[in-house]
Amino acid sequence: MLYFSSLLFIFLFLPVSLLIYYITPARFRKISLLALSVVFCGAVGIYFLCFMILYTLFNYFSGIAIKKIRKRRFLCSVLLFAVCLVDILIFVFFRYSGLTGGNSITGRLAFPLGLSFLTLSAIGYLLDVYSGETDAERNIVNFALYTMMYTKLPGGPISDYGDFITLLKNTGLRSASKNFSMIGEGAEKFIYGLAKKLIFADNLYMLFESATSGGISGISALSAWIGTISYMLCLYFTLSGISDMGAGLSLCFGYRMPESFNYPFTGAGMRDFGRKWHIPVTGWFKRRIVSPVCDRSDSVISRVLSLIFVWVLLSQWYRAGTGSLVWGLILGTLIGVDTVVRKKRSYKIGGIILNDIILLLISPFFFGSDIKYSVKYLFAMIGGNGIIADARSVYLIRMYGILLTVCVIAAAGVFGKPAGNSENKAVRTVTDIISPVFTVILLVLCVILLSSDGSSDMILLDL
Amino acid sequence: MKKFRYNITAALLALITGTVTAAGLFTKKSTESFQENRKLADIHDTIKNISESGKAFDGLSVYFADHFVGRSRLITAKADIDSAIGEKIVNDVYIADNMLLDASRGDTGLFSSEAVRINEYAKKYKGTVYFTAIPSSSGTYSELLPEHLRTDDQEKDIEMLYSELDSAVKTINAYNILKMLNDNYIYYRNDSKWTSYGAYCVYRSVIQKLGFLPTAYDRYTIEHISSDFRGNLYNRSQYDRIKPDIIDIYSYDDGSEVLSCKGISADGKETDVNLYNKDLVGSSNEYGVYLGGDSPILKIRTNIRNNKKLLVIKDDYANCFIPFLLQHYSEIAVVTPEKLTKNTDLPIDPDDYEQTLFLFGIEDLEKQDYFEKICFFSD
Repeated sequence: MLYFSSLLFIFLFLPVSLLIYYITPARFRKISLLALSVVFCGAVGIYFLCFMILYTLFNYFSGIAIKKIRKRRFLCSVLLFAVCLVDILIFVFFRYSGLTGGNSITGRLAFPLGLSFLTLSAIGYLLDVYSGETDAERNIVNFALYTMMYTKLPGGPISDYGDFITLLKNTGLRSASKNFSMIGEGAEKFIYGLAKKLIFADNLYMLFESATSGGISGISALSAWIGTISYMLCLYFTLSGISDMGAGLSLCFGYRMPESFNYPFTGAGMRDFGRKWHIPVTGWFKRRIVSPVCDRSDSVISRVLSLIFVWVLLSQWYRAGTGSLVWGLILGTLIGVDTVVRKKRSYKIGGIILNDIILLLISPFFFGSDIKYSVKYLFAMIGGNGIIADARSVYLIRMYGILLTVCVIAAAGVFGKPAGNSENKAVRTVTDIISPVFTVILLVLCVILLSSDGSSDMILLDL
Repeated sequence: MKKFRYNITAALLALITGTVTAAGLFTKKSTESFQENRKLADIHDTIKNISESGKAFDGLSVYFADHFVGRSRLITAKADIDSAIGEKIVNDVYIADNMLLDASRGDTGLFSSEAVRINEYAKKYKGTVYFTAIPSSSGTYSELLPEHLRTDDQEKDIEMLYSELDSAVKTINAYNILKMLNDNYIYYRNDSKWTSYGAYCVYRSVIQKLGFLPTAYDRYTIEHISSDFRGNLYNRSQYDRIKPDIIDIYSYDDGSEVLSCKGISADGKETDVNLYNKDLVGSSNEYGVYLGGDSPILKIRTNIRNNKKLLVIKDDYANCFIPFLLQHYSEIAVVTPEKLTKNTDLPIDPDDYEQTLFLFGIEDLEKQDYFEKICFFSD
């Protein structure tokens, strides 16, 4: 397995691949990026590479077939349905084989890296070909880059095929000297993502484990809150870290990808949260499900139901299980209701905090192993175990207090927002001056954290 | 200005990457890590494993990390950063005020196969079998661990193992002795094992069970052969702010004399070995000074003329314990099952020894089945 968060990747694979990419003449550069992606897939595993090649070919030829019979609408619909069903079944098979113990039989049935994003990308492409929004791709290199481009493979961001091709044609082929500042920007983004993963997410995961280890029957309310806060922050920094790494790497190769998160915990209301959370993914579901429903019906109920449906699907996209299904159901309902009821947005701090408290209260359904566990956990959070705080919670606050505070501040965007978008020229200038040094310090910190094991694997979710 | 910022970032990172890569290419590769007391990945083994497993990058990733420029300094810095960011835990080692403690969560209470093998041994054996399980430092000092890390109750584990042994196996409770004396220097600060003094405290009880009077403490001359010992917990955590440990050799000048100490390999070949391998002082494996060498079987003869013979089947815990037994037996055979590389018939006959002592660390027994490779009696 080759992780982005590994010394081998950062100091060998990445520099060598950038070097190969930029010394390749512009007209062969796409092929060189594809070759590098094939090597990356091979580095993840030889079975994974075979899977990726077959998956890419299957969707490539399906796209061409759909295009060919597009005028025969019924037949085309049947074909589209069948092909999408195959893609979904592949996803469902791997997602749920973990639940049935399939993963442990041979070890080869482990969830393929990036399959969650791949499924959405492939289905999105086929739907676009069917609707005529995109022409079926005949150039296998272009299509293979869409599915296999290694920079966006493990954590997205996903994009529509049309947008991707435009990007591929317009921006990816400049020389290294012209792209030099873009490489710097991408490297900075990659290192910020790496730091989110290694400094924040990995330690938050340890805090979550410490807070919840030993069962929840005697857990104090404070420990339960510490557990749920650390989990949600860990989830955010894991997803946002890996998205930033992917977007940063793409930028190094000259492709500017969309932002994935916009400080979702600063959302004033559930609707706002939904708009700021994993934007390309939620956007994909909204475009394919909510928009068509809203186009056909003005009914408030159908709008709410479509949003609920989206978040239920999204919950299963993240992780399989009845607990996460309930989480999706509740969150979808809250977002749906908030969308149709509240017209005016209030950005008062009280509203933001209340919103976060609700998110924390429903989060046990996401991380709980089953609904019974989640309900018990929720019960403990509201003091149902009869213990408000204990020695463990005090110990955890003493040990992780500073980390938690820094993470909360970072998740609230206090560091990033003003620095990036400040209208004050002096602030911008100071940020620009200290930023390269800060990036180098973060890289050194990350290297130190990676030094003993060499890599840090994916935690919480298989995406 | 932004473009300037990104250009500077790109230039700085290119410089760092280039320097690291060049340094990695041109610096000499070490074969082992002194700090971690382990062999580093070897390029030939890495290539061999790649061709065998097909997982090219798994091996390469380990090799790359093992030989990364400045690795030894980086991993020491990692220990400081890890312990500063969150809990004082580095690589499953808990950093208490003045000692390191193992905080990994092992399986507990699964001793059935070991108990069956020992019971079988006791049934076939003509002499008397004794068994003592030694807690590790995290078992004896469990109160120093935060509550959520006290998952491994070694007192209960030892009780459970003893309850599975037949009545023919005489068990000796070392846990209570060590727990009672835990104000003393009975465990290393940087290793999970007991010190020679800890071993001596348990020896006093064990030897009485075996039918002898213990040698008084004041009869020994104690030689500090090293005051820089850093053990397995340091190797894992690389946390160097705990005071290094002392390695002691206890000698009793008026006591017995070792006439011969032979190392016997699994196929019966004998070589002369030293009871203490002082060459290892200053090495990364200073604990190896005790009963140094890789022989799975040792046969030690003394000038004691009582014709008493003892067979000790043990793990590393017994290495600093066995010298105390030498005052009482004319011959002691020592078997270390961990050092047997394949299924082996013992090249000695247990029935030549009227007593057998099993001495193991309880944590080690939980982690691996020591007896699967050993056949005590050839049928």
